[in-house]
Amino acid sequence: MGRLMQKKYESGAATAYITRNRAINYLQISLPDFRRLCILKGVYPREPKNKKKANKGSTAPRTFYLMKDIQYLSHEPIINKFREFKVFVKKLKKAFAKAEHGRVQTLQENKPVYKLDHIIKERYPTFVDALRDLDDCLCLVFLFATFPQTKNIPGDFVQRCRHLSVEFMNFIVAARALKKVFLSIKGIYYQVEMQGQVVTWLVPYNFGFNAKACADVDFRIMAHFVEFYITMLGFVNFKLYTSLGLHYPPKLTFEAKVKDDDEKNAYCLESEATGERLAALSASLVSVVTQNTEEDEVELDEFEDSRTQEAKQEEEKQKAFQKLFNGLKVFVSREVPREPVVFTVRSFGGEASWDRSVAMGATFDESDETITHQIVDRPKSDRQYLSRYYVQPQWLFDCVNARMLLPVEDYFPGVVLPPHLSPFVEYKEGDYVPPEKEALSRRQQGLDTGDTVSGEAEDSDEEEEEEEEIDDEDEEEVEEDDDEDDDDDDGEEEEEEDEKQIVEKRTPNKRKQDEVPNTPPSSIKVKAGKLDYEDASSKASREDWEARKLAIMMIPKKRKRLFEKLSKRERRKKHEAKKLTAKREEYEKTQKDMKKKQKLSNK
Amino acid sequence: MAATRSSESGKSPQTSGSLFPQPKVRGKKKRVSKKNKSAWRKHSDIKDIEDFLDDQRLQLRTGGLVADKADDSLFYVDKQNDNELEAPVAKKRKKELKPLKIDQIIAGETTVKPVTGHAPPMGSGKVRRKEVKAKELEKKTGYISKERRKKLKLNSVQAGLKKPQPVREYYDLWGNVETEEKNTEKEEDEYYAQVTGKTRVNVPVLTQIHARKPSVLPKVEVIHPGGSYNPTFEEHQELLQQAVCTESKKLKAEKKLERQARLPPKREWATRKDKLKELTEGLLDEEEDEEEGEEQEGEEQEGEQSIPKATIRAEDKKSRQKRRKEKEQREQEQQKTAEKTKKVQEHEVNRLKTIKKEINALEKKKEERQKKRADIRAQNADKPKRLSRRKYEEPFPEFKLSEELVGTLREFKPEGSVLKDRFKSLQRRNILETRVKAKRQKKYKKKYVEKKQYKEISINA
Repeated sequence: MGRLMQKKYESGAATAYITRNRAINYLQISLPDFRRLCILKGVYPREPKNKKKANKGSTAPRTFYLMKDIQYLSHEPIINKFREFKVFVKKLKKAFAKAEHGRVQTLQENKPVYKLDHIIKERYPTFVDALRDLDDCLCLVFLFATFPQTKNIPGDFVQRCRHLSVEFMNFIVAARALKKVFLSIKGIYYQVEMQGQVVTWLVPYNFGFNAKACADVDFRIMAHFVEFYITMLGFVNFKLYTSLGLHYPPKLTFEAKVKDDDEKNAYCLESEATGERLAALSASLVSVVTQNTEEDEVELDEFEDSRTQEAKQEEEKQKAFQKLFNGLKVFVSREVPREPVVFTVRSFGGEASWDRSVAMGATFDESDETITHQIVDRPKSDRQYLSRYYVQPQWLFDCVNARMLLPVEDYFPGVVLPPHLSPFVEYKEGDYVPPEKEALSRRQQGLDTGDTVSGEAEDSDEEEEEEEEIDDEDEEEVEEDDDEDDDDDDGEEEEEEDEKQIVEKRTPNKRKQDEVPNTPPSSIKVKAGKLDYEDASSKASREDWEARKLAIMMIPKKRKRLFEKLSKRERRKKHEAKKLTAKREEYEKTQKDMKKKQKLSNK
Repeated sequence: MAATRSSESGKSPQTSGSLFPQPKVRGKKKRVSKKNKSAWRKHSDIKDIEDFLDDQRLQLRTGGLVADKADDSLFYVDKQNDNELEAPVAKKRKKELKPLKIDQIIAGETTVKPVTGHAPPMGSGKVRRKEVKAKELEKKTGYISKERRKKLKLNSVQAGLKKPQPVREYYDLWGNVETEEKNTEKEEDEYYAQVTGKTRVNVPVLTQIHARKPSVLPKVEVIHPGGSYNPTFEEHQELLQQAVCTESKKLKAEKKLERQARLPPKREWATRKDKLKELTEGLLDEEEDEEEGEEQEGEEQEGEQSIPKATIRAEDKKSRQKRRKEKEQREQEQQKTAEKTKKVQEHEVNRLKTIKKEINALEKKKEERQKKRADIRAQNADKPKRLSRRKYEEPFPEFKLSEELVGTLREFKPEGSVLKDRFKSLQRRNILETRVKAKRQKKYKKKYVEKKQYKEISINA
């Protein structure tokens, strides 16, 4: 009769996809093992284009995998290890139940273990591939490093995570790879650049483990991810260290060990002490290659080309940025979160230390006269040195994000801090840019040198007055700073000799440029009138504008609609930005009024 | 059948006579029909032939045909005195001298070679295949299988599987970067075989691509700038606005659900009378109708009249002739239409231009549809896919209220959990399917039984 009817669901989506249950039957492993295998191998569930076809006519929601993926999984040698482990557990249980202790021991000694090396090689054929996928890895490893060891977390995961995260941070310090830091309400975002790959990760603040906040998280699954990432980060660390010519596992320089000699009689093992010292991030690492890496840089042939010059300038900027905290000696008070602060200071070339009673690895004491900055996070401290700046921790992070040293006055203890801006936002044309950001960008370009916002200048003056009232010592300091700002020589003459050196040391050229003396408000004058010549530039701009208008007129009707749409969008954006600025101005005005009122009421 | 057998043996033509069973002495000869083959087979007795053949086969197994053998090998001259046979031997000794029964059974003259303990050289299919595979692997990668190693008495270091130096946890997995040379496939194969003891399988291309980027979303999404611990006023307001939006959406959905599940107002509730009416629906109708006034009856009658019964009058009935004519007419029409379509098809050549136009229009439509679909797909690219029974639920964005912003790092309290954020991110990026923790259900309900113990019963109570 007619041609043979083709049977339904024997080709196409029905055979290309496989449901999770069928996949488990196919591989003959349990569901937890299957999930672990998928996570390790990077096989994720798929959504078929036509679910009904893939599900053989049923519309019930299911989890699908590609049949090819599952076939590929079936070749994985680790599946056999899973099965071996199952047998091992059975045997162990039996031996326990029979109280055969010798057998239990031998069994445990021969516990089947599996390696993930080949999987990592398979998933990341080149090192750059691994770096590209490092974001997730770092997030989880840094997160697990903060956890307490509970029964939910298998093995020595927490310890290994801690080790690896410390190793990685040490590498970042050595490579000066840190680019951005952002203190958010969730945690601290870091961004680094390694071998051209930008990696961002999130580190939680050091607070106690909150089991309630992550109640509905499947811990077992996260542990599988961590298991994979631990192995991966180990290999990545090895590669990173060797690429810099550093010793792996990391070794501290001899000096660091000597300095801690007096801590030797502390109550911990030598191995623990080295771990702690490494975690302190305060000492530099031993390199395998003796020569200095900075010296043997290849000098490129010089071409007079705008592009190469631009690249050169960019490179110089980069280098300067990497040495941002060079020469800074920072002392971290005990109320400040030590790790993020030390990590940022050290990865831009600064030195950092803390009180010896807080943690191991302190390199100098508070009484050291060469300290340039002390990071303080309480409104008032009882003892203060004149030779150093006392600043709040935000100063460091803002400096990094601004890519320059910001004036310290805005960050003195007790002062209302300027907002901490996110370095991850890129403003487009027509967007609303907060005034703080605008001021910062102007400062970065070297246009503006003084205070951040015009309104804030008054604020800071007021605050200074307030401080005068509150604390005599503070007043001294502020005045001293002002003096320095006015004229460096004046300030130095008054001070002692050793302090002079410090001041010279700590004021790099850049800062001198930044802090141009504040001119007093000019008195009103009447000047002789000038003839209003038409400026060449304004003429050019006007011509430009006219040309543009003409071009718009020439747009064909077909494109005109699109153009209007775009320009309308732009206008709306600008309008919104305007609205926001107006709002801000109003807010500032009310804030100022409030302050004034408060002051009046105080008096 | 039997005939062919005898001819095969070719030894005893005289036995062919047995095909016709000789009449037995006792009893009357039973007459049976041997009309067909099956009957023939059934009633022909071939037992003696079979016996003869069995005997012959036995002879062949045990030292050849007796008929072919020389007399010397068959007989011997008995020179011993028969009386000597019963020589006085101790009973014990006699027992020892006597061969065991089992030996007697085995000791028969047999040409069949005894079965040895060795497996046949080719082995069973499974073993052979395994060996072949192991050999292939050895040739390809140099990996020596466990069995071979045992045979050669090599340990894993000697076999080149492990490097003699102490095994480090981490090593240079990716080789030298500076040379920028990718490892050759052979090297990769070797590496894989050394780590796993198996041959490498290529990763499917689609899997590779998908594993690298299961979603367009970034791996770590940085929080809105208003989420800074010390944000600017506007950005913080923006974040709050976002939070308000999500919250109001949630509330709206909740309200909608509530509205849908709400009870109707009380006046719409079913009264007792309504319920009774519903229960007796159709039962009491007629009675009620009778009770009701005549007017209604009249109406009903009218209603009944409005539905006429189908009646066929004699003149309406189709005659045979009429039917035939109708049929002819139908056939004619069919023929006409067929002719017309044929004509149209023949003239289709002239319509080429319009056909082209039609095709173009169709294709254009198709393209538009494709484009529309692609647009929709692109729009939904950053949305999580539906991977399981549960829909992905967006977590509530973290924020701090204006009064909660302290402005210093010391007094600041973090919001949310990084672990949860990571978990949700994995779900959002289609790496994990959404799942709800399975609650362990109790198999049986707990039973509470009050026990009346004698201690509890006191006289006072």
